[in-house]
Amino acid sequence: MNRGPLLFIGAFFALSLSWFAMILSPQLQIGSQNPADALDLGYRHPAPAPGDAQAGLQVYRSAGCVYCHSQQVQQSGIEFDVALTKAGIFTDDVVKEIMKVNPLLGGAVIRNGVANTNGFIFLRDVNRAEAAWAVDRVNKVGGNVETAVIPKPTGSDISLGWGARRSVARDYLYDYPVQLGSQRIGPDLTNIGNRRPDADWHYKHLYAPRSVVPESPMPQYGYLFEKRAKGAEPSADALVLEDSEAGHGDGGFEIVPTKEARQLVAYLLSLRNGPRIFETPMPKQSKPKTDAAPAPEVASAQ
Amino acid sequence: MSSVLTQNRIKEVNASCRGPLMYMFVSAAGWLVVSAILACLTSVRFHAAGLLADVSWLTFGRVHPASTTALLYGFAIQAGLAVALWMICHIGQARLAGRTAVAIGAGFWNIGVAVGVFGILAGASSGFESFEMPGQANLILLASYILIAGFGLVTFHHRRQRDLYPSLWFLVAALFWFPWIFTTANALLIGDPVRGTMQAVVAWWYANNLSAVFLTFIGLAVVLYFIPKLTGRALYSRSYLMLAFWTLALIAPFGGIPSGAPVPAWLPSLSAVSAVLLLVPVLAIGLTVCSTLGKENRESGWKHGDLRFFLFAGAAFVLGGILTAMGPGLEIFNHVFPSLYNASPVSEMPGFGGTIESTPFRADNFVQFTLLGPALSQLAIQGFLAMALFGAIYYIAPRLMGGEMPSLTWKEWHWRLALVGIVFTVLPWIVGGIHQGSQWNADMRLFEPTTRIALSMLRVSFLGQLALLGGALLLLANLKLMMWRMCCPCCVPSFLRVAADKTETAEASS
Amino acid sequence: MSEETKPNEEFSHDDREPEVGDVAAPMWLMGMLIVLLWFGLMFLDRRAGGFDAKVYRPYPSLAFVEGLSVTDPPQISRGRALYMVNCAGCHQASGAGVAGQFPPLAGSDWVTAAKPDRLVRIAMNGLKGPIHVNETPFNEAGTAVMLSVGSDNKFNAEQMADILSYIRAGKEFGNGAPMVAPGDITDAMSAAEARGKSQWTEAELLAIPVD
Repeated sequence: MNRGPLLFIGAFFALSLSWFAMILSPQLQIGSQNPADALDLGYRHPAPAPGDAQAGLQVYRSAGCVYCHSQQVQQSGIEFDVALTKAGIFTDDVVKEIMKVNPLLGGAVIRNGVANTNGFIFLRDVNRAEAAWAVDRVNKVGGNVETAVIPKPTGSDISLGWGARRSVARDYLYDYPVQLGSQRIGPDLTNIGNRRPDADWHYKHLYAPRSVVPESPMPQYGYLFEKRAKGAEPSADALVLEDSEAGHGDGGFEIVPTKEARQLVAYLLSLRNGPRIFETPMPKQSKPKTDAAPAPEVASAQ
Repeated sequence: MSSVLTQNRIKEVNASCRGPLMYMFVSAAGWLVVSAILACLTSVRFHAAGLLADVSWLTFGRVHPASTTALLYGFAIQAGLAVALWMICHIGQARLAGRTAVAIGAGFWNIGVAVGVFGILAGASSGFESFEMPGQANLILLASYILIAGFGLVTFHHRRQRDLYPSLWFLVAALFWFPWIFTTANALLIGDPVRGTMQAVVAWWYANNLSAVFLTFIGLAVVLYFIPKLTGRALYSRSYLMLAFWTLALIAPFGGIPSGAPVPAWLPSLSAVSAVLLLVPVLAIGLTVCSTLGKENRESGWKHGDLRFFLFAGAAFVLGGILTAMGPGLEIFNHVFPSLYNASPVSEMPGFGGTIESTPFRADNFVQFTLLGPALSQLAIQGFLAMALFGAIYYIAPRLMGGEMPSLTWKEWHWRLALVGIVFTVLPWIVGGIHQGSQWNADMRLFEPTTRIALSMLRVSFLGQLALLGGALLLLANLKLMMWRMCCPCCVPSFLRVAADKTETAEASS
Repeated sequence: MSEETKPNEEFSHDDREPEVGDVAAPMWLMGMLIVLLWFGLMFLDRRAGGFDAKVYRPYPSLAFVEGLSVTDPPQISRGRALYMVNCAGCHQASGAGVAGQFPPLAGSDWVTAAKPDRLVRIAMNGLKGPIHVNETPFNEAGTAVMLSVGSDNKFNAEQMADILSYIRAGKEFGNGAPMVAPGDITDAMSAAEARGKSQWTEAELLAIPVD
């Protein structure tokens, strides 16, 4: 250990080891991913966000939203529902078995469910072993009976409604820079486009956070808005504010979002927790109801 | 290893370092003040959320990264490099090679950091934590680093004392480490960005290597050199340190990936294993330091003007290592010995039991998005590295300038304020973080209640930030006053020119 | 004020460089490293998802995820796509058809026959005249004509098999009939090719055995 070259080689070796393990291998695994089939919905996920949303990501980055907000839904476990997809011929036996599996449901509910089988869920929130046991019992009845085990991701984020499933690498394919975040002084934003789809709420929240979320620690972003004199009529995008907001929007003036505010809100509205893909077992999703042929597949970018 | 240096040799070595290193110390102290001011500006928002918020330059999301950038790049790396150069010169008994180049490098380093901090405040942040500076600033930094560290390595190569004191292992490894990780991060995040979450993986890898390897190596080198030097005792054991050095070098770079990250499962698992394995070098170093100190120094060292900084740094290092390993350690215990774990009282706590098949293990909730992360990072940077660097600066600067620090009172107050600052930032954040984690584990339906206590902890930590600012100001004042008194009170280039001439004059005035 | 108790504290240039001791690193420290490494590897065995790119926490392995991933076989996915483009216009996305005009495919006795030979011919060459599906008459006036969709689009055996698999085995239509492999319909495809674009009538089709 008295020789410089030995130190150099040692340090180089140590660093290359971690470079191969933590940079090269993940790059081969997730760095070259492509959009995948959304298993139930027929399109490829993810799709690149529309132009305004891309610009909005840059506004998000430059305002440093990432220091209080995260954008990754967590999952800590999985539980299962067991459903009856086909009752088969021996419906009475099926009813008996289900009563044994889950006596708490009550006879009437079970008979009704078996009669109108369309994915009747007769056991909820159990672990894999219990689900397998329930499936075994019911399948033993025979006569074309079919059951299905529905996996449901669980975790604090999911029970908070911040997403239906955990975020995976594929969800962030088209983001630059990826704003995963490491603090939750404010809530997680992965699914904010679904949770708060109203652009007006977002404009108000950015301009005067405490007017929509009392006691919020979020700073206001007045520099994203313009205060200008009202014309003969208020413009379409002027904010409608409560008059408690520090005198803004008072007589003769209106608050109008700038282009950056618009882009930022477009970005926020585009944030949606992704659909079911292979990596994320979850209950099957239903397509929006329409008789017309579904939307054409989004072209996958390379 | 000869233990007596001739007076002249020491003077020569110190004189060769004086110009560039004092410049770097003063600049680093200046950036520390800037970072502390920005940190206070950040922290004050939690008292009045609307304060200064409408100005884009001063919005929370820009001031916060500017503060951490100034701390890491402006203070920690710069002061670390300066101390590293001094140690290489001093231990190797060689004069600093390329002094002018080093000084120019330092000047450009400051320009780079200034461009970076300015860029962040203007909204050009790169978006990656610990790496926020825009690409242009990074290029300037890389060029300056090559100048500074390059000549440090040249000096190392030309050293007279060929035996390597263990601190030099850490320093040489560190000097090589930074340009590799910095270039990789620049290439893969800014130059030709990788896609999707891979960016986050590179950013985490870089941030971890920057603080847990590069800066930790420098801090350890400092602690392991100055404690034996100041106590007059021998460093306890070379082989303990060999074990510590190699385990750190091989294991620490694998850390940094948070447990719930949207990346394949093996990446966070590797990081968890890395955090637990690091207990071995942490223990080795803790034992070395304790044994080096010897019983009486362990008590009396806290009164010693310089030694106490290193004692605190060593303690913070060990404490930080243990705290970081706790979460992953529990997780590993849970998965490797599930029956034993479930029989223990830990598994009773909400979120700490089970596996995926039954009650899912959610202890990660404590560390993931809570204030525990910033608490541990603050403990590492301010508690360990900064304290070690302060001690080093207070030892080195007087010997470079040939006279004691102008005000020992200020030095004493710096020590006290730094202590208060660290305790009043780390402790409230730990408390807030634990509360946040336990709320999330309780499967609450409302997000707002969690943040109320966390917010009050953030407000308390504002006092800590003020104390740290006070300490930083005292350090800067001390250094600047020293420069004024002992140098030509002009701007930097002049004193570089004059420093060489002033070797004799400085001696006369001490 | 700091109390400076050690002689070294006094500011001087008489620095001694520290010596380095020779105490050997204890075996228990090495042992601890090995034990922790062993635990770490066991942990990676259980929690690293087999180092697979598609396994995320908290899933333990790719097999686990596959077991949970209720996906359709690829033929059915492909068949669905082809059906939606080529057939859903008349027979509807739900396979219910239009009363009196376009026969349903969901629950149709023609679809659930043991062999798909008649279906291949209908799809490739088309159908004219009335047809009875589940005893219900369609196109009684005989004015509508099903065009030779398969020939027009030049479906090969694989594509034909995919569409038929979707219609027969796909969960949406609920027919519960077995899937179709390309090898099963080679004869039917050649016969259809030989016929060209001349549509079939119900009588001609009923002559074809499907058991």
